Amino acid sequence: MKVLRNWRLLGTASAALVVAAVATLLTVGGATARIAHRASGTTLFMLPKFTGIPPFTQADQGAAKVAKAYGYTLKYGGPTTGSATQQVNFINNAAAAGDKGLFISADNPAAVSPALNRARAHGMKVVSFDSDVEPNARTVYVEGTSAASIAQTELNMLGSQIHYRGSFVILSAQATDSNQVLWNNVLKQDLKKDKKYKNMKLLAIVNPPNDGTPAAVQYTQSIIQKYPTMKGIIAPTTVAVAAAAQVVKQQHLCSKYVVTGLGDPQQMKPYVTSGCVKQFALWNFAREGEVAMCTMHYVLIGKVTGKEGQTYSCPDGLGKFKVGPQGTVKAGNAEVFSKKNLKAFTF
Amino acid sequence: MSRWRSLRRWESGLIALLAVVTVVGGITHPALLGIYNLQTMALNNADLALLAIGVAPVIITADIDISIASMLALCGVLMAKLWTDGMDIWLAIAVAIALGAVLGLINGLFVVLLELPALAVTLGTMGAYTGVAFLILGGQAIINLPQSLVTLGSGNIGGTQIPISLVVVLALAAALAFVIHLTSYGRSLFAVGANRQAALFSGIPVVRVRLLAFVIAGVFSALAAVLYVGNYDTAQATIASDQLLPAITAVILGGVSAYGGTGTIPGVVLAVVLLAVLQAALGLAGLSGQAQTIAVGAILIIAIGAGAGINAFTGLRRPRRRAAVSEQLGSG
Amino acid sequence: MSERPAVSASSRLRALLRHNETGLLGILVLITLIAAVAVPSFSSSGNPTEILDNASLVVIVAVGEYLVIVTRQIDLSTAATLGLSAYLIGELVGGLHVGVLGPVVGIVASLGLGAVLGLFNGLLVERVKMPAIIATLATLSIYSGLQVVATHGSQLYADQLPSWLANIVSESWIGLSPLVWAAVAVTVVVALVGRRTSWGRDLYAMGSNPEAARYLGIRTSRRTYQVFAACGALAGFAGLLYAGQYGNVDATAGNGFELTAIAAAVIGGVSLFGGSGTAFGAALGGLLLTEIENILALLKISIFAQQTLQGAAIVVAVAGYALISRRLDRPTRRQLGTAEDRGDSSAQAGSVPSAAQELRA
Repeated sequence: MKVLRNWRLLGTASAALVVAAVATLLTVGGATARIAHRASGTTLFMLPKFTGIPPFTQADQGAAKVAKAYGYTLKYGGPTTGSATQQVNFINNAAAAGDKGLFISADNPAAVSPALNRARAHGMKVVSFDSDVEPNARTVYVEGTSAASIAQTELNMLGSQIHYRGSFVILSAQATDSNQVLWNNVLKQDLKKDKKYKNMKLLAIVNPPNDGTPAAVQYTQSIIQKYPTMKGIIAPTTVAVAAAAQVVKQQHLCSKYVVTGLGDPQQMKPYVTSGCVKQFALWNFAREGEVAMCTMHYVLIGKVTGKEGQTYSCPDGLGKFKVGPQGTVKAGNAEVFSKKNLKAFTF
Repeated sequence: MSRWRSLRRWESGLIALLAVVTVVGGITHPALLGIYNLQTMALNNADLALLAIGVAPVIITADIDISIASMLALCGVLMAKLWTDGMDIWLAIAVAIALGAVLGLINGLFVVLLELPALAVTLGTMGAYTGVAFLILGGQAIINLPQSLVTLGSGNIGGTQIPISLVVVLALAAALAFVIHLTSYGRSLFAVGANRQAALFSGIPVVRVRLLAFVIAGVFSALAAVLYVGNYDTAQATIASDQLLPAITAVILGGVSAYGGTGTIPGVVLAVVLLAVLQAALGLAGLSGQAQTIAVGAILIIAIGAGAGINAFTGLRRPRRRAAVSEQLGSG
Repeated sequence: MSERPAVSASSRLRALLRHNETGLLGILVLITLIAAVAVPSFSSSGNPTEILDNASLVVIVAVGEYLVIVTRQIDLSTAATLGLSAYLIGELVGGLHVGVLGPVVGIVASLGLGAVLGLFNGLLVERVKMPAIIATLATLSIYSGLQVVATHGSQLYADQLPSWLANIVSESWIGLSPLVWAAVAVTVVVALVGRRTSWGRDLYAMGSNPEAARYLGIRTSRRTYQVFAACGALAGFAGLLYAGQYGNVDATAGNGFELTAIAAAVIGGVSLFGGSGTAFGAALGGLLLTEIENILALLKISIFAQQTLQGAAIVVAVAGYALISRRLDRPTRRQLGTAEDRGDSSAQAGSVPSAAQELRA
């Protein structure tokens, strides 16, 4: 009987604990959210593919800086792993909570678009950044830099190190990553069109089954085994380029294969310092966030509707911007990093 | 009898918890009960609900199927591909559902006839089915699907604010609940799950019962694919791969023992609703993704802990233990 | 395999042949031979050691998982434990300057962190009486949330690691990297503990029949705490090695690992229903998964075909070694007069090891 009474106590206590926990979570969260609303009339939400990695953190910091100048409240949040369905949850919550604007880097451009359109019908403005959604599901897309400039930069970084002669492999992300598909297609066209690259040969585009570091490492190893005579690897993702550099360094093959691509400066620093990687590129994510926020401001006040040719100027010396075809705005240029400028550079 | 009482108790616990979350959430954030939130919540969880109730029979027979999300993707991709190739969308849907049955049957044949571990087999088929979906579509997505499918997946019943997919899910859940809880097949299912050997000795066609459970999981994955593709207006090889763990979580939270022999379909549906409302409430409260993840984990622990405590108070051990013990005694 | 402790030499030989691992090893050798002949780059320099390197983390976590699964529990939180440990312990040893003591501190700290996280799982299962699958799904949620909180939007960079850790793949001790030796050591130790000590036999007894184990006087609740702590500790240790192997650790480190490790153990013959399997089997399961992945990545076929074939290969391999094991098993069964009945698994529980029984999970 005593045991039973204990269990009953435990049961009641746990039930009370559930109520208390839920209530605390919701009210504490709610209180902070309400204070935020009081501080400013307009709340905006930034939704990255997933939280917890440096590029998106930088974009958030950039956007938050400009939001402050305009007097907006910016919330930042998203799934902890790449997940379209969870992104949709965040879209729905932001719209239901009455947020007026949403920044999104789409995990799956097609899948999030119907939810975005529902949210827009509910009164929310949408600006995509980093990774676009379907053009009919947002007002403007702010791209870090253009696909053309990414493809050119990648080919030149590799070409200049192999005297524009020899074969190479692209180590990309998951096959469904729409950015990667676009960039790689532009690169393939450049290879065909531009005489400068006529002696460079693309052997394969390799898409690992997921975007994690272990998969990228494993596929780098298999690339080296399969194409031992290649000259280098272009990896247009921060995860893959670091993984490729790590493998080449571990196998003492730095002098044999060129590794280049789009990389996070801090992540690539050790490989550049040791001379294993000579050059890599990236656009400035903080700047992309700043431009996205400034663009959102003009979208909210109705000055920018996504029509080609509209122009607007942004504060803090960001400069003037022009809406290009399909409502796309280019935030800046890809910057090439090497031993020389890496030390001076801090994002 | 006692099993029924303990299960009803489990479901009452879920209902109580759902009430707490709804009331507290609704008071602190009225938008939780706003029509927009209720609609989007229903749309966004319809496919998850079908995945979860569909795999429940497999888990009740003490097997497991982790290929459900891949079956969803493959069926969805085939359906969309057939439509772009000129097939009528309703015929394409029928083909996709038939494919679901075949994929489920393949899982079942390997597991049941060759006596292989279900987890290992369905891990293999999970990769293989996704691979085939990739072979069909590459990395591409098919979008702008026909209006009839999009309406089915995301539209409302004419003149009301009630999503069609919500009604579809409830109808399918009711049908499955009937089969599982009120037919002789359902009784065999539980008997096989509780004690395979005893079920065999009492003349239950164990092989057929288990095979059919896998087929049900396949068919429901295909049905989930129809709603998914309609709601997201997208068919792609990777769709829904993030729904596997949530679906299994809902099944287990819904009171289905991971070791077979117990569980109800209404319980699983309640668990899906509870998780959806909880997520929405936490999201509206402005919790970050990681805080939501932590909170959901913590609430699971507290809730199940309370459930276990209450069950123990009534003298009924957890269903899991009970099943496990009876299996051992039966075989000893 | 709940083998009885006292066995004669000849029956030991028979037991060896009956071992599930024999079939698994056979398949592994077969696949290796075929690949060596058919895929030119397979046996090229470096590749075989790469397979071992890539399998090491899976092997370590799978071996930890074996301890838990053999007692009829499960741990889904290992991936998050690994990720959390990779970041926290990586940062800890990166910031320490204790010279030769570095590895000791790192290993002890990673085992300790993992053990604490694992102990919490044990607490939920044993004290709160939660089914292990829900308890560890919940802690998977919590620990991976903590992983994002801990990394606070940043990450651990390769140059923050001390050289002893950064070089665990590139260095070579008698032909193998320290990473591989770590996996070998873990497997051997756990295998010995699992099969040669009374502690290990307790685990099999618990998995075969929890109630009976309690009546036999086995301290089942203490053992439950211990296996969860051990499994967590090994996942934590794998996290330290992850940091060394991959250099970069962000909030996504370890994602998706939970199913791989459990699958490796199950493919290696550890039954999810408890009471059977060995650490060697779990390790071989991890090796098999990695080797299949490696071979397919070396083929010049599309990544999509690779993925399809990889899934199919897992099923075929599992079916293949199951058939081999059962063939080896058959004479023994006849000898003992046990009917080979399909629908039955538990009749032999705790008495005769049967491949069919082990494979049913």
